[in-house]
Amino acid sequence: MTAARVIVTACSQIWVNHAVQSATGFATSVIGCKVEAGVELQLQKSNTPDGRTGASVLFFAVSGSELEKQLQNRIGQCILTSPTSAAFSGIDKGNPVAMGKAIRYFGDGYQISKKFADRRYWRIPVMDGEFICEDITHRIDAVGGGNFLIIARDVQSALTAAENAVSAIAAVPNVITPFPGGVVRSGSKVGSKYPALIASTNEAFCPSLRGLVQSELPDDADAVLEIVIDGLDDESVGIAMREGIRAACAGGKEKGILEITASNFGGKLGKYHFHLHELLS
Amino acid sequence: MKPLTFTRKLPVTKPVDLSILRPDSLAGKKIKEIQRLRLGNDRQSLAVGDIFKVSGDDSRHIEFEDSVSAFERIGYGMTGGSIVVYGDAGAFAGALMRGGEIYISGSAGDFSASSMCGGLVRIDGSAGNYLGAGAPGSKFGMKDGCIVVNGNAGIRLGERMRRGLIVVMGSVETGACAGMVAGTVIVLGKPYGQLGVNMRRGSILCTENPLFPPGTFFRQNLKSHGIVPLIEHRLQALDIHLLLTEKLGQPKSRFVGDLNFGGMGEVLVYDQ
Repeated sequence: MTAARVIVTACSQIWVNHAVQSATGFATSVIGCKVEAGVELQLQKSNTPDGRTGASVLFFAVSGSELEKQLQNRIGQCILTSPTSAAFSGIDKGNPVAMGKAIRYFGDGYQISKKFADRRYWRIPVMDGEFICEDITHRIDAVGGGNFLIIARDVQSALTAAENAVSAIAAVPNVITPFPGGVVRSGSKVGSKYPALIASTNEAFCPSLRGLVQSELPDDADAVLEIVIDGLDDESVGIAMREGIRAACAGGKEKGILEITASNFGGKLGKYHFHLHELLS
Repeated sequence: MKPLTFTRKLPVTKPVDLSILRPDSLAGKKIKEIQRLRLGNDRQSLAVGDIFKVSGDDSRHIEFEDSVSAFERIGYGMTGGSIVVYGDAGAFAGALMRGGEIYISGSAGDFSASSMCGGLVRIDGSAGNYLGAGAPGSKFGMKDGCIVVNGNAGIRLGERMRRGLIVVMGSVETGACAGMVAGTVIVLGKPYGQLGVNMRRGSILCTENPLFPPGTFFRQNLKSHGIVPLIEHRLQALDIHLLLTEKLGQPKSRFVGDLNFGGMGEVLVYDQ
């Protein structure tokens, strides 16, 4: 995976949220969306380049060219269009990825470049003033698909634990949980009986298939939810998994949490392996 | 290590070219070698030791003590390190410099920081004419870097500048930013006539309303200017805290021009 960070600012938190929700929409899995994206952190005014409220957004893709294409589309269609917004690079090292460099042409010749030290900004005239967009951001090698499964007595228990886990992970920098609310109910395995599909349902963890397939679920488990974590480095993903698991297990068996496990796809998918016992030791 | 210090030991009234006394050209030289260096190219040129008492051993950091305006071309073309001038500096201080930092506790002469390509020049007093403008023979003025003047600046400040940042706490004389191609200039005092005349692009921030020649600039009433915080951010990175937005709010008006040259330049004015 390769990843880029974009800092989005606007006149208020409401408009930051509108911009980033739009830009990170339909970005849950590279399998179908070509990009995984999410809000990493909400930023105070003192932590943004233009002194306004903002958020840092992480984008992950399987190749640099796909990431660049997705960034340009999403900044061009979702952030440029959002009132009062601006977009800045959030990573200063790595391979350059065009942002304003490509989007500036929307200015139809009226765009203005402003360069301070080694950073170039494009000022594109729009109907509420100017859209300011940094020329480039950078992409770095990243880690996608860190995950753990919460096996619970019922759906409500699983959901409460998952929500607690996602809240704990939200405080960890350099990571995102790209799925809706940070939670996946349709955990997948690699491959399918249908040749056209590269992923399909993970039947070993589907309660409704118990008795039909070789199930991995305890007898009293009725629901499983997965937390998927993408991060800029393996250390951050490991920290996020640890914090998430601890938060999910906080209630223990009394709150219906029976087991925590993870999908490792037989150890065949990706070079990073996170061993849960080691993370928590 | 102590800064390499040049202390003036006799009155100097005729211009002396000090361009050779910069960190990169003095690296690795011993004090006796430095004292033998000739200042200028003519046969009558003086040696460093004739004018200065030399002490210290860190050629990355140079200091001129008791400097006078006859000392010209201080830090001319320097690429790194730092020069501190206690007193005045003559013409061409920091001209064509590409990196490093110059601090002048007094005033600087004409063509200071002209055609500079990088680095930082801080002048505690006032600057002469053509500060940050094009050096004679150059097509463009400064191409990058930053200049900060605590006092006033003379005529044609930043003329034909291509990029970079100039901050003048005091007033600027006629023709500032004339023919400006790009870059940013902040004037916190009074801007006298012909400000930004013939400018093509670039940004000028003023606290007082300038008088433009008729037909050169168009006034807009835009109240929101996203570029100002970025300028402040850049200044803060250089440890320059103007706090423009905190003290003055947003600019009250924006003038675009010079309309005879495409009108892509802007003058942001805090005054009504």
